[in-house]
Amino acid sequence: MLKNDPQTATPEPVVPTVVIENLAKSYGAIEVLRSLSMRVEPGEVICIVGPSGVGKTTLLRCLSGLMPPSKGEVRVGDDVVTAPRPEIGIVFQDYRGSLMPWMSTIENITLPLRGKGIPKAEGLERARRCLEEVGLAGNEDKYPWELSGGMQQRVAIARALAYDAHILLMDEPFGSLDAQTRFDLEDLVFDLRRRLSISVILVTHDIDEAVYLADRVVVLSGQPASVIDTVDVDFGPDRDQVETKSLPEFSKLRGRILNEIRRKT
Amino acid sequence: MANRSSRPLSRGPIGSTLNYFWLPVVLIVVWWFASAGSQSFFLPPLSEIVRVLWTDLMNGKLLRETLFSMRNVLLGLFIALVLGIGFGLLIGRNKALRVAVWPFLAFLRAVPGVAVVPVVLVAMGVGPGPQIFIIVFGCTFPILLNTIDGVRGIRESIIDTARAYRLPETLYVRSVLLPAALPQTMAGIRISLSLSLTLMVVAEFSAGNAGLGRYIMQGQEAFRPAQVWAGTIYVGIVGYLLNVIFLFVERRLLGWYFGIPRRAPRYRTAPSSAGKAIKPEA
Repeated sequence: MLKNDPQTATPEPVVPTVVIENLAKSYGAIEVLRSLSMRVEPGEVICIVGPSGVGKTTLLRCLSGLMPPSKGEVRVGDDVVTAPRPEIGIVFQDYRGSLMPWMSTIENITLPLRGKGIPKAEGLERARRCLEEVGLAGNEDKYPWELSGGMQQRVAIARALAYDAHILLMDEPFGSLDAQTRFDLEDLVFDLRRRLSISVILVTHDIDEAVYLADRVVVLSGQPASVIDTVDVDFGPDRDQVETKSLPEFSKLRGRILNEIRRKT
Repeated sequence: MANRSSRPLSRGPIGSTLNYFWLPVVLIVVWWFASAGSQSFFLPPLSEIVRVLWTDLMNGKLLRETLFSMRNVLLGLFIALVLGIGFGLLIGRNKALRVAVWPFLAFLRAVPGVAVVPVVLVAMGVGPGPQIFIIVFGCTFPILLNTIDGVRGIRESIIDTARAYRLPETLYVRSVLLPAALPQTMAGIRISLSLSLTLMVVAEFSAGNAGLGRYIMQGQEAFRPAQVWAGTIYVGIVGYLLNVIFLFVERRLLGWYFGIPRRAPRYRTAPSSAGKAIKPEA
C-alpha cells in the first residue's frame, strides 16, 4: 500500500542491507556485547532471541543509532550508523511511554512527518492510511490511553510505517501483551512485511515468537553476549499460529534454541 | 489519565448546585444575622458592608481601581509566564546550566516576594511600573521551578522516541517538551495566580495612588471599616473568578492529563471509513 503512494513514489522501495560488524558495547568496565556480526538482507525478518538481561536492548539501541557502539560498526546500505536514520522505524517495548499521551493517535503518527517537513494534508492522508493498515481506522481522535495495549502498539507500528521506514526495529514489542493480542500482532507484522517488503529486526525473549516470525533466528547468550547460533527458519510466507506451531520442525527448532540458551547460562 | 475527583454528595443539576453552594450560603446568612445591629467599630453589620460595596460599584470607583490593579496583575503574570516557561525549558534541558544556576534559584525562591516591596518602591517610585515588577519577581519562580521539574521528569522513552524519529529542535520543544512539562507548569501558574493578588495588594498598600489595595487602605485611613471589609471581600471575589477562569483553561489544555477524551472529532474521516473500523482487541 505504501508502495502505491503517488507522493512517496518509488515503484519498489529500496530497502538497504543492514550489516553489523564486530560490534561491541561496554558500559564502563562492564562488557555487554562482544564481537557481534550479522547481516540483514532486504525484506528479511530477523529475530534476535536471548535470555532476559543479555543485552538485546543494548544491541537494538546500537542498531538504531540511539547509542554509539564501543567497537565495530553498523552499516545501513553504504552508510555507517552514527545517529538515528530516516529509513529506520522503531517500535519500543514501552508503548505507554513511546506514544505522546497529549496527542491523539493521528497526531502521534503525523508528528515525525511534521519533522520531515511533509505538508500537513499529505501527512494526515498518509497517517490515515497507515492507521487503516494496522486495523485502527476510525480511531484517529482517540488518545493513546483510551486504547488497549495492543492497539497502542498498533499505533506505534503505524507511526513507523507512515515515517516510511524500510527497516523496522522492534524491541520486545509484544512482551507485555496477553497471548491472544500477541498472536494478532505477530500476524500483523508478518503480513506487513510480506506486503510492504520491509526488513524487520525484532528482539524478543520469547522463543516461540522468534521461530514463528523469523526467516532467521539469531541466538544471543553469554556474558558478555555474543551470537552463539544462527538458525534458518523455512516455513515460507504463509504461517499460521496453530498449524505452523504444531509442525514437528517447529518444535525441533524451538528445542534447539532453548537448549543453546540453557547450556550457556 | 488521572481523574480522581471524588463523588459528589448528590447528582443532577440541582443536586450539584446544592453541593457547591450550601456551605457559603449558610455562612453568609449566619454572618448577616449575627452582625446585624453590631455596634463594634471594627465589625460593622454585613448589610453596611454590602451597601458600601454596592455604592462604590455603582459609582464606578471600584471599577476604576479594578482596571488599574488587574492590568498590573495580568501583565505581571504574562511576563512571569514567558520568563518562567522560557527559562524553565532552557534550564530544565541543560544540566550544566541547571547546576550553575541552582544555588542562585534556591536563594531567590527563598526570598518572599513581598520582602522586595520596599526596595522596589524606593527605587522605582509610584505607578504601574514597580507594581508590575513586584508581581513579576514573585510570580516567575513558581512557574520557573515547576517547569524545570516538569522537563526533568520527562520519560526517557519519550526522549528516545523523539530522537529515533529525528524530531527537529523547535518541533521537539513545542510539541514534546512543553506539553510534557505542562501539568507541572500549570501547577506553578496556579500558585503564581494567588501570589500575584497578594503581591498586588501589598504593593498597593505601601505605595501608589490607585488600585484595590489602595481602596482598602483608604478605608482604613478614613476610619471607614465597612470600606475595608468591602474591599477585602471584593478582592476575594476577583481572586475566586480568576481561579475559575484558570481551572477552565487548565481543563482545556490538560484534558489528556485529567483523562478527558476529545468530544469533537477533529481528524476522523467520513463515516464510510469509520464504519469499517476493526476493533482487533476488546
